[in-house]
Amino acid sequence: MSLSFPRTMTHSATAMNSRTDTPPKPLASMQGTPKLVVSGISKRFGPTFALQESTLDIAQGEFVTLLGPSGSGKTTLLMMIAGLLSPTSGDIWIDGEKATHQQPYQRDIGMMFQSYALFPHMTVFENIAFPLKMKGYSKERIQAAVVDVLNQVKLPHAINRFPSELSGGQQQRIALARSIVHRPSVVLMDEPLAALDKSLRSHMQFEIRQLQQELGMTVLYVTHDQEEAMTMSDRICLMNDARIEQVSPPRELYFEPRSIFAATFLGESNCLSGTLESHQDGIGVVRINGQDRLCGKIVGELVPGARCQLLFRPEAVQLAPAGDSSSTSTNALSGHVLVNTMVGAFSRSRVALDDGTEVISVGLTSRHAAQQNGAVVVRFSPMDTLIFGGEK
Amino acid sequence: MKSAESRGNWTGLTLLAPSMLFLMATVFVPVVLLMLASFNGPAGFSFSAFDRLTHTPVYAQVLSHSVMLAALAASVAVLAAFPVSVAIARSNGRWQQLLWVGVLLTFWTSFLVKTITWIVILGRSGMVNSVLQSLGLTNEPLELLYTNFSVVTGLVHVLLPLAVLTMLPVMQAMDRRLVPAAATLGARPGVSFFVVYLPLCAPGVTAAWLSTFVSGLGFFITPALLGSPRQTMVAQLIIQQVQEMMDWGLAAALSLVTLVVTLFIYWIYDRMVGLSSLAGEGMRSGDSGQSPLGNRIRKFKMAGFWLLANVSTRIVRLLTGHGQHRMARDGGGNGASLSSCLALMILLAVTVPVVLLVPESFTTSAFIDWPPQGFTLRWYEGLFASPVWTGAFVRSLGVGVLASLISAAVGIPAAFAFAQQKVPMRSLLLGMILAPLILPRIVVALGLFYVLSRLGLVGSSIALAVGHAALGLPYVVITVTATLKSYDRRLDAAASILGATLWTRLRMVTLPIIMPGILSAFIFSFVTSFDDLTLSLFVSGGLFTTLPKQMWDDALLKVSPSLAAVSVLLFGAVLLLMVASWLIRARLSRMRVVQTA
Repeated sequence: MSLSFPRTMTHSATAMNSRTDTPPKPLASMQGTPKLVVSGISKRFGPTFALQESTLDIAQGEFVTLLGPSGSGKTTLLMMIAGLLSPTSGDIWIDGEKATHQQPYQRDIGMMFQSYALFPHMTVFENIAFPLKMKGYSKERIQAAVVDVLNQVKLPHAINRFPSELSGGQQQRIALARSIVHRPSVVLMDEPLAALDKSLRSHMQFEIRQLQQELGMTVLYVTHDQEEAMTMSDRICLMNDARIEQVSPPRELYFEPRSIFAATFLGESNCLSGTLESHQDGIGVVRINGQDRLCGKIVGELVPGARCQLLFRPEAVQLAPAGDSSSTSTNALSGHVLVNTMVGAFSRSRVALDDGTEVISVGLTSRHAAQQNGAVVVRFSPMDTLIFGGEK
Repeated sequence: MKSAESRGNWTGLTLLAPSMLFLMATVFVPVVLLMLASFNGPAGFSFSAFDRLTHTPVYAQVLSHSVMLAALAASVAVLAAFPVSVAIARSNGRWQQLLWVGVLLTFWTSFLVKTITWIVILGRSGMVNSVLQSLGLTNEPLELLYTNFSVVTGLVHVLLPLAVLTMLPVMQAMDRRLVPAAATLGARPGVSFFVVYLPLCAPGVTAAWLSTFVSGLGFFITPALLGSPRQTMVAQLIIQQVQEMMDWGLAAALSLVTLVVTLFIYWIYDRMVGLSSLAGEGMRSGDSGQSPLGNRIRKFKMAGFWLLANVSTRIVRLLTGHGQHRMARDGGGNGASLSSCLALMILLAVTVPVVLLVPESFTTSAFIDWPPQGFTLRWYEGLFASPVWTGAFVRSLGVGVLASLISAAVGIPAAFAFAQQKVPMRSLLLGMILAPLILPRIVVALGLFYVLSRLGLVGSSIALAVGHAALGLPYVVITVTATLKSYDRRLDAAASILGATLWTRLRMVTLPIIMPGILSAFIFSFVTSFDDLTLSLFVSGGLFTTLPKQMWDDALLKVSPSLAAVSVLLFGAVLLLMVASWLIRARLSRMRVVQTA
């Protein structure tokens, strides 16, 4: 079949055998062909899955972050896209070309490693020229491209230095330059900023993002830092337990999480257990402790009588003095304040509800607002409340 | 500030003082005296020894032949050691342990045992010839023994583990991500090997060649037992001059020439790579590019590596047609296991021959011909009944324990100085500590013998132990320094704050934690002493021989089944020692886990 065709004929072979040699249509609606398509890919080591069947596609110029706790499979996915690990099942397309069985050096990619992985015996110039040399470019073209990219990462004077003569942040920039200088279809970044200190890190986050937008780079970025993911990404691919939980733009992921994990991993959430009493048009009424009724948006499918969890963000919570019944359109529960803490711009209050469950409330710190103490009413809008099926 | 700094210097120097004084007395002063002796004529200062040296063609022949044999053996040993080291550095878990055991087993097996093995295999009625003849491939036995081939084979067997131990640290220190990084940047395997992996290994590989070459140059056991007079090497000549001709002048002159050749090669090496990589101090990542000349040399070297890379890629492209690689499963995992298999085969090739001595030790024949005949324990019985053999064994044991105690006592403070203190002229002092290891052993031994004979101390067990302690000292310092480098010095601070004095701290915190390192240092220096023949050849004499000396005397007369029996016992002892040290280490590290948990 098409496997016997020489590699150079891939495009004509595509037309003859479109079923196996073209990427599946992108799931999310995007303009143009996606730069990277991962379809049904999985990796198994013996009996355990490092990654269960996963599908993801990334558009030209998009910045997508793989976010998740350690062991969630994000590095496994990245390594398979780079060709450093071969998948158990599924396929990978890079820029429309099937790359599943290609060696790393045959793939049109650039990669930035956490440890920088700069070649210590080569100068900055030789390091950055390396991928260009591999492409067989002329000396003049290489020289020009290296100078160009060094200007872009703002280190033109480092050209003849050795990596060991540069600071960590500078080495980082050189690693960045080396991974983008040959204009690969996709740039892969494996926690590249993890070793930098906080202020340098946020500076580099900004610079990488700016450069990516300027050059229209397509980036797949791995991090376990949710703030970093929120700051930089067009979309976040949230991973947990060797599979993809949710792929959404940061705002959507924050406000419309599709699972309890997504709601609790990104930011904080208060969580109350209860039973669904009734529902209409996606709005459900949940009874907790057999007496209080609370409303919220149902996520997924739920039938009345099912056990469910009620999630709401601390910043959605308002505390009012006990006995205040001015507003009946909100969810309200009574409790008493355990402790107030001021964390700079924010203040946190820990409130124990009557059944002993703790709820956290966060608000902007204000010089004038009176702190609530003692018995309070905890209020939060049904619009800010999500109902998930299942146990905690 | 300044006083604190200079106090730091003094602490380091004080800790180094015992080892420096010790080496002065046992190595440096004796070698210098020996060198001076080469200018000792009947009537004061003269060049007569050098006159004889230059006017007798056989000396020049032996010298050049020695250099050639040593260079050839070192090259083969390094070539064989390379895949073994790569496999150890890249594998993990059981594979790594298995390969490592293979290397250590070969390293610790006695020189003499390794050499006797090849007599059994390559002799006229040895295994190879008997197999060839029984298959009808040859009618006449082939002359395999007493040729350049047999000498180089024996040398390679001895030098291979040394080469692995020298180059492995450099490979282990390398960032494992560099080769994958090169692949993601478009480098084919040939390119990432020749342009990234090999240049970074190069300091270790050249250091391995250098140390195997120098120790090969000082060998006499292998050429004496496996070679004919045509394969005579310079160390044999030196021994002959001292023991048979009593010609100290000529022996000293020959030693001087050997030393000069050695130092010249070290000098070239230092220019090109830097001596510090010998002590496992790691690579100097590209700082040779500082000077214009260094920069040009570096560019030249890189151009050479690129050339190799391009040639290899072309060849692969020719062989596979279009240069299209089939996808290897698990990103080159196949290649990794292939290199592990190659490494295992190389290690089997140096381990299995020794095992062949086992059946020979039970033969009923009076000769060690292949195949061994019948089964008898009389060779073993003979050994245990012989006061010469049991005496030699007990003496070797005693000397070995005493030597390792002395080298530990002198070497451990030095290791503390190198690992924890600021030491002025660090690389020079480290080089001096390593001197017994990096100078040809024959020169060191002869120097010590020269001094001891002047002092009338020849034949004293204590003198022998002191000499062996000097030979074992570098191993102690290297091993303990490496252990101390991973020691968390905040533990010292914590112990002090909790009220421990210096001695309590050492006794209760530091020493228990670095115990595994001290233990392996102890084993290294014990084995060095137990296995040494060079020094024992001169210093031990008469009835009070050591085990290697007794084996050597026997082997010179005839390689008999009782020698095979001794070899099997020694090999068994090494195995036992390895198991014991492994068990003790396992226990110590478990204790450590409990303590930290």
